[in-house]
Amino acid sequence: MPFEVPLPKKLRAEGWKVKIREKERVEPPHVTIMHRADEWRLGLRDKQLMEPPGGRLRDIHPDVMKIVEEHWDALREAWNAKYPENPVSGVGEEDDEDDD
Amino acid sequence: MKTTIEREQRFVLLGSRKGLLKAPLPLRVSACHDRAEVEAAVRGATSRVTWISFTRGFTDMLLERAVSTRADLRGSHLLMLTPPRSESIPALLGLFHPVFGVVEGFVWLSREELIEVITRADAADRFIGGIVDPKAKTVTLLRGNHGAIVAPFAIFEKSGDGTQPDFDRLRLTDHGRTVALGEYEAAADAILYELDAEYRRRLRKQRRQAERTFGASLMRLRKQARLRRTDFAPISAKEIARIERNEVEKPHAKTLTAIASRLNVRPEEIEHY
Repeated sequence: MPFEVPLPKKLRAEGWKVKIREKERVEPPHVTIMHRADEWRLGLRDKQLMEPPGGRLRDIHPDVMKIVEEHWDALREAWNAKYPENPVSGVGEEDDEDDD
Repeated sequence: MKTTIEREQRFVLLGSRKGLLKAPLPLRVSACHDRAEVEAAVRGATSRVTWISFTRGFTDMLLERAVSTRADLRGSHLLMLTPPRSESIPALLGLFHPVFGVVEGFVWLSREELIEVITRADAADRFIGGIVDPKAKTVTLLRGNHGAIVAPFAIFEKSGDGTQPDFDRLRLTDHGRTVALGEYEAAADAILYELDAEYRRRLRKQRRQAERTFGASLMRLRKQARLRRTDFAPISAKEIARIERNEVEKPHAKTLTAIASRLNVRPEEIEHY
């Protein structure tokens, strides 16, 4: 099952979710933050928002960010457990293809 | 099958007032609650309409009105959240294209999320419906632009923490960004990345554009100048690739000058692209 950070009832009711899902093995380690139809992917290595979908940290509810910070270690551990072949401490592989 | 939703695409919901949504409908979405409204919508319809029928009764009503008014609905899409009567299927397939939700077992995103997702610019990157075929071992997923993608069971690999997919429990959630198979929740973008070459190309391009490293800037500038890595002799293509991948910590000044000269910019300008 996905690793989901528990959020207060009010934030859940507003449509906020924070989770690490399955099948993201080849992605850089990250946690997905959702608010209704919007989403952000926060890198677990550098705490930067990933592209796509990009976005701005200030658009994420400050209470959600605070909870993510509080669960940071647990999130990193959860990623490592789900994707042991792509751990947070590892170095991501570069895309070396030359096409677009 | 390739289908696309154009910007002018309109969506018509067919269902009773009780069964439809209470929230205001997004732009380009309208609703029909009775026979008269369905008839008016059919008469005014163009091929750029997606009909979304919530019940079998409303699908029958749409079919009946479409036939009796002799409206030309070819090219308009039909999504049925409840399967139609089996006798009506050939006529529906003849009048609309594409048609989804024909068979029992087709799973849809919740109505509220479905309506929100279909009008979004990124609808194609979200899944609004799907069905599992245990015999062929496939999950066919319907994208928000009504393109279908067929995923073999094998791509839903077990996670390191032991989470395994349960193909008897397909569910679409998180506004179409998650395909749930029991407790297993697969990210929609990971599925698309694996199965859709066009999606992969688009994603790589987006990532490169967003990247702020020197290597990424050089690659953008080189592509903008329509040059290949082999066009920088005497610097080898391999060396250019290494620089673009940021594997060279600090390229030699002479190398940078040569690259910049070939690109018709000053060396210090490269990182601004």
